[in-house]
Order: sequence, then C-alpha cells, then structure tokens
Amino acid sequence: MRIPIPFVLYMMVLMLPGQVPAQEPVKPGGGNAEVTPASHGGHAGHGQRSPKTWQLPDMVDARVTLWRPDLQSETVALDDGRVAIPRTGLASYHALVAEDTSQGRTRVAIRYDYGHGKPVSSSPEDLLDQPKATLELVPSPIPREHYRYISGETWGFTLRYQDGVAADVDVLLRTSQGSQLTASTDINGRAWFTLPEDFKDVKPGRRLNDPGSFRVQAALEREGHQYETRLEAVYHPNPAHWRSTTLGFWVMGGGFLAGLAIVRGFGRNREESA
Amino acid sequence: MNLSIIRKLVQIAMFAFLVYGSVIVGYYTADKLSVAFPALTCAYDFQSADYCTLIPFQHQMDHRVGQALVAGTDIIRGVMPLVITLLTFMVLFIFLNKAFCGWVCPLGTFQEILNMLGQKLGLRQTQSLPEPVVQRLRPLKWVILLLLVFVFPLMAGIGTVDHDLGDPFCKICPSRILTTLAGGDTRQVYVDSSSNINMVLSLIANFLFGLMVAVALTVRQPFCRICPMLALHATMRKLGFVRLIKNAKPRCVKCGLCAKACPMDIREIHTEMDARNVLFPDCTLCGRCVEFCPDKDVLQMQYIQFPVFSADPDYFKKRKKAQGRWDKWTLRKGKR
Repeated sequence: MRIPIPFVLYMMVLMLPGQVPAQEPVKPGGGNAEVTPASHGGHAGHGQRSPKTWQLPDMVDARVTLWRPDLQSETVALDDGRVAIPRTGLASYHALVAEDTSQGRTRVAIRYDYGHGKPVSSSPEDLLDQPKATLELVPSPIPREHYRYISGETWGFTLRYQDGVAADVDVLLRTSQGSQLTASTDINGRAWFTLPEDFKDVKPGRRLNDPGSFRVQAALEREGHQYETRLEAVYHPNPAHWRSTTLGFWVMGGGFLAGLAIVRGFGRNREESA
Repeated sequence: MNLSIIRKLVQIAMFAFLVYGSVIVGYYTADKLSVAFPALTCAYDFQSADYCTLIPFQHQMDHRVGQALVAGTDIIRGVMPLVITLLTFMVLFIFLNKAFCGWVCPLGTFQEILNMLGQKLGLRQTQSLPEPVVQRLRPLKWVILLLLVFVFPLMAGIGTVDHDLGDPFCKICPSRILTTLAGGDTRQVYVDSSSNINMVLSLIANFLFGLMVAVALTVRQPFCRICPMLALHATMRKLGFVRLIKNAKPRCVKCGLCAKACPMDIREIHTEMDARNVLFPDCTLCGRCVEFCPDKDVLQMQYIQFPVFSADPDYFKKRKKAQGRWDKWTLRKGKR
C-alpha cells in the first residue's frame, strides 16, 4: 500500500514553467581502489561523493549490468577488472550484476548500492524481486534506505534459482576482517547470518570507523551446468560499542524521579494556596 | 458511547497502525504513506507505517539547503526537496487539521493513557497548570521548532556547527524512544559517548522521556505543550478542513467548563467572546471543550463549515455523569 505523494508532487513541481532541469547523472569516471563507500570527509564535503568502483579481479571478462530503481537496465563497462559505479541521480537502491559464462559454468557477482537524487515511485522490494541471474542471492530484506548492515545484527539472504528458491544449499559468508560463517538455506531458500563482531580497534562514532566488506556465496549444479553466485556488501561496526543502553535506562529513571518531584511540587503549591 | 470514547478507540487504532503498520504498508521507506506525516510517528521504528515530517525537514535543511549554500549551487535546487516535503505535509494536514494531535499522534495517545493510569492508581491529578506556568511553557514549542528542526540542521549543513547537530530534535524526541520500545527494540535507549554533543543529546532524550512519563501520570499532555509539531500545525491551522467554532452570543455565560475540560489549559476558549474561530495554537482538537459545554451550539466542531459535533445540554448532562462515574473508580479503592 503506497501513496507516492512526494513523487507525485515532485513531478507536478517539475512541470511548472521555469523549473530546475533534472540533475544530469555523473558520467562514470576513474576512482577509488576500494569497494567501500566514499568517505564522508567532514560536513563541507558532504554530497561531493567521490566515484565508487567495484573490483572484480576474478571476473575480468564478465558482462556487467546496472539495474536502476525504475527497473531499467544498462550495460556498464568493465575495465581491467574494475567497474566505475555510475551515478544515475535516482534516490534508491541500484543493483550491479556481473555475469561470466564459460563452458559449463556461470559465475555471478551482485552488489546493491544506494544512490542519491530524485525520488522514485518504486520500492527496493521491486528491484529485489526482479530476476537478475539464473542463480542469485537476494537480501531478504536489504537494509532499509539510509540504514546499513551492522555487525552483530542478523540478516537473511534468499537463494533464488530461476523462478523458484533453492532449499538445503550451503551458503558461505566471508568478511574482509577474516571471519567465515556457514549456513544452509531453509525450505524458503533463506539462509540467516549474524554478521560477526570482528572489527578490531573500534573507535567511538560511525564516522571514525572504516566499514568492512562481506561476501555471501553459494553454488549449485543443475543439468550438468555449474552455477556460482555471490553477493557483496559493506557492513559497519555496531553502535553498541559506543552507546550504553544500561546507562540510558538509568538516566531515564533519573528523569522519572525528577518528574515525580516536580508533580509533588505542584501538589504542595496547590495545598498552600488552598 | 461519547466523543471521548470514540476518540480513544481511534487513538488506539492509529497507535497500532502507525507503530506496527509496516506489515500493511511495507518495510522500506519508499513504501511508507508519505514520509511527511503530521504526527510524531518515527523512522527509527522499523515497523512504522510512516515517518513524521520533522525528520525530512531536519535532513533537508542539513543535506540539501545547507549543502547548496556551501557549494554555491542553485539554491532552488537545494530548497525544492524541502518544498516537496512541506507540500506533502500540507496535503495530509488539511484533512484533519490539528486533530492529528488529538486523535492520531502516538505520543499524545501514550500520554493520555499514562494520565488515565495515574488517575486509576489514585494519584492526585493536577487538573490545570497555573497560568504563569502555562504562559512560560507556550513559547518553548516555537523555540524547539525553530532551533532544533530548522536552524541547527541548517548550520550543520553549512558547517558552522558540528555534524552531530544535523538532526537534534530526533535525538531528543520522546516518540523515538516510545515507538521503538513499543516494538520491543531497546537500541534507541542509550547514552552515546561518540562525541560531547551526542552525549548531551542522548542524556536529554532519556531524561526527558522519564520526566514525561512521571509528569503525565498527573498532568495532562506534558510533552504536547512543548511539541514542535504542535507549533508547525499552528502555522497552518487556518488551512485545515476541521474547525473549532464558538458562537458566544447570546448563550455563552462564561461558566469556564470548556477551559477546565481542556487538557492543554487553553483558557482563552473560555474568555474569547468575539472571534468565531477559537482553534488556538495549542489546541489538539480533542473536542472535550465541546463535550463539556452546557449550552446548545455555543461550541462546535465543523468540517468544511458543516457541523459535525455541537455542544448540547442533554449530551452535557450525560457526559458529566459518565465523567463523574469514571473519576470515582480507581484501581486502589475499586468502584465506590
């Protein structure tokens, strides 16, 4: 159930004469060596995000497709095992799919990135539901817009094969910090992982910690053809490292006692004036 | 059945929908109803059906308007998202006007339930706050709206204050704590040691929540009196379809029962004898003043000029009796 009022109003405003033209997407350029999101770099630099790249050293001959939030797709150039992630100017998740098919074997790598820009009427659910490969790992769910994968949190991934799901298949999760977890897909094709708390030397504050990356992968053989798929994503240290819930409840208790003292004061004033 | 009971049922239904409604509308932000809702329903609640408009206001002042000013780019491009949010808010607001406060807001509902609990526990109620206290509290909602929702986020976007002041109202809002705790999520109750600003704001948030809970047991609507959403509603109350009208002459004898019934201590509704429109800035359109007015049609709630609920002597008598029965019954002594 969705009433895209902001999207409708945005389109109406754009139709008014003399309105600002739609933001042109930035052309892909060279960029960072790492897959991590561009650093925030202080507030004056906010919004001037440096281009992101996706490293695919093991898939130099892959065909890379960008799926936009509006479910349009386009081919993206793979240059020496690196993809410069294009900015579409659309505010929602995008999917990059690298597919490499050789004799008897298909390898797929997928990553989902959140873009900033114009609002869209579609939901991330639409992009996730869109089939992008014969065998793919689909985040179920993907972190909500403006949120992220956090260490210590449990997330599901559905292994989808053609029009259905693949149950009872081993799935492996590896992080850039060196952790490794395994799980099996259930009857709904879903495997659950609690992202490990494996960040070393966590500093207080999200901006002070570089995110890590993780990869979820699975393989399946069907009719003599080997399918391998992996999902790559970024995760961050859990804010619980610098936030204390226990202290929070104590402070709340202090506020409660202060409130009782205040209302007692009202009662006493009422008695005195009476 | 009376208006107060109907309102309570609507409030409970809206609380359930707004706090847990993602099962109906969807999990993602793009699925939400408007992302500019005219009540304190929170984005930190992952099960919510919609987000309050104060969230995008802060975000856009910080990341759009502030950014445009720093970068020297077209300011219209920076302001347009803010305009879209404001228009979205207004599209919803005009249908219920300030009744979003009195009938829909989860935090308002919570405070009313706390007050009922305090009554039933036999705690001595403060029927009305002293007038000097009321007058001192009233400007606070404007200060909070201006500074925490607009000025500090803009200054954070420009870079003149720390980035941690980009969303200061969200960081102290009791609804963030209420709606997440209601969903079983304790992660929004914390003291944040990542920076001095975050520590102060998180201390204020938790203290304020505890304070509000205690005060609400005996004082009606403590946080509503300083809520920036109330102030935002007040700026647009003349646009809304729901109105509160007073036909003072010839029947109003200034008995003062309307002001006594008012949970927001709007004494002006009692003293105002000339103006017809008595939808004052602090009004939440709860309708209690109309219920407790003993004179026919003196006070009236209208929808696009059509009366939907008018003061009536017969209703008043029944309502007063019902209130008396309700007030006498407490959990401590049982029904007398």
